[in-house]
Amino acid sequence: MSGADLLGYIRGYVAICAEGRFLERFLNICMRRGILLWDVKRRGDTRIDACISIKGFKELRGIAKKTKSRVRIKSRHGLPFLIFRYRKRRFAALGVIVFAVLLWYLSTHIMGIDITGNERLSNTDIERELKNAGLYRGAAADKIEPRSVQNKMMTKFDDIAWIGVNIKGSRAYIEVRERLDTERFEERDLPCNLIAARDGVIRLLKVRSGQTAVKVNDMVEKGDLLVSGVMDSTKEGIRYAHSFGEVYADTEYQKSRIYPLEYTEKVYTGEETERISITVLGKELRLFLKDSAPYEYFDEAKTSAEYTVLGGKLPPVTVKRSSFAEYVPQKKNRTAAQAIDLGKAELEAELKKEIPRSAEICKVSVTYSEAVEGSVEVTVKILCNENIAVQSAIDKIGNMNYNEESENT
Amino acid sequence: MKLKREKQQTKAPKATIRERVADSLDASKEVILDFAHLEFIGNREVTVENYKSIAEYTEKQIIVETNPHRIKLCGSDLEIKSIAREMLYITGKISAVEFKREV
Repeated sequence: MSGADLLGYIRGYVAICAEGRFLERFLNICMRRGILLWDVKRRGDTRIDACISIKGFKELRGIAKKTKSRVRIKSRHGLPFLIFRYRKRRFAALGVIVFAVLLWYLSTHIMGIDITGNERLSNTDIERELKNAGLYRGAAADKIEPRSVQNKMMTKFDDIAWIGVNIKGSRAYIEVRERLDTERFEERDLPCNLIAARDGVIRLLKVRSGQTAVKVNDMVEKGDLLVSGVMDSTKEGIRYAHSFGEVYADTEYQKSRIYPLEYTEKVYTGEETERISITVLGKELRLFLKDSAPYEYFDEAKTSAEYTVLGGKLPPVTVKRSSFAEYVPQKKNRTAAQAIDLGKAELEAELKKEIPRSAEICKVSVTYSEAVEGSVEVTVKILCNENIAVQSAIDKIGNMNYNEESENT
Repeated sequence: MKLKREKQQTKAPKATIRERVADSLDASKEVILDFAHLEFIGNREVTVENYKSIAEYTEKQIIVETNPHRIKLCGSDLEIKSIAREMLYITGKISAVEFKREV
């Protein structure tokens, strides 16, 4: 029975000192009215020190009058006084509220998803489907039904033999069991065709399995059948095969652009500003009040980086930066030769990004024409040799007609 | 009440009916007899339950009114740790306890 415990602290209490000649009576009246006193210390003949709750203290005035004693407050303790003292600090109060809300939010919503046991499926694929099933970072934890999430995931991924969804506090633990390899192997044997990924002229055929439908020097368009997985022979009837192999073709990449001889050039002033925003749980928090550039002419460069916090224990934080570089436009002239050089370099660099790495570049050609007065049109053509065969699955019934057609041609 | 008290006083050496009832019922006596319940921890602490009021409170002695006795606790550094309606909690070095019939 003391005011020093937590409850006493929350309610608050005062240490008082009572002076008078009938202090026993004072104590008795307090007792009868149910006012709790503690740490009552006798200090000489006419004085008593004690502790009393705030509520009890308010009733003391009458008692003190009755017993002709004087009551003084020695010290105040507890939360109510603390709040009173800091009542003007609104932002501190706001901070307390924000803290409470944050604590509530962080402890009742999913803050992290741990996926274990997946070997072939990627975490991002699983997370995307989990999100469709209602489980994502920031979802209310008590609204998620693990069973329904499990069912949805099982129907979504054929490759999953079993999935466990456990929600512990604000983390979700996803345990994945994938099908065994033997079960998968049949799928790799499924019949399929090889079709063209790009337009081109066939130069070399290296077919290991399947019936070749094209010859060398044939022109093919994107999506054309190259190797058929359906084999038709008089002896055995129709047979399906998992066709694979490589088909090399000459392909062409082309790009053209008009370069005016009179142009404006960006002269950078060197002024730069950055706007940073932080995204947590899909909610963006701007660190700057203004989102736009403070300049009239500017180039914007955006970068975004994702950081994991505490080794993935907390949801990832995405930091987006957009930096603005100021420039002053300046009118300039150039000769046709300069424009062609620039165009060649620019277009070639752009095209090389498009060409797959496995392709072999055979020839680069540049053509130009002065179609419009005062400008040059530059065209860059790159000739490549690459494997254009990609697999495409056939379902047995649907493909019959298609196969007959290709045989007729 | 007063009448009752006088009655008890006359029969003081003998056990009263109430006491005998309490004995035979094997129930806690302070409830049936409306006596004070004192609990000591050595001579350091004492709790007094079912008391009426405090008659005197100094560091050397505390007098507590109970029914039907007036209990005098003597000692040094006596301090009332808490006062509630049902219970009094006293600490200090207690040297003597005295029960007195109220006159």
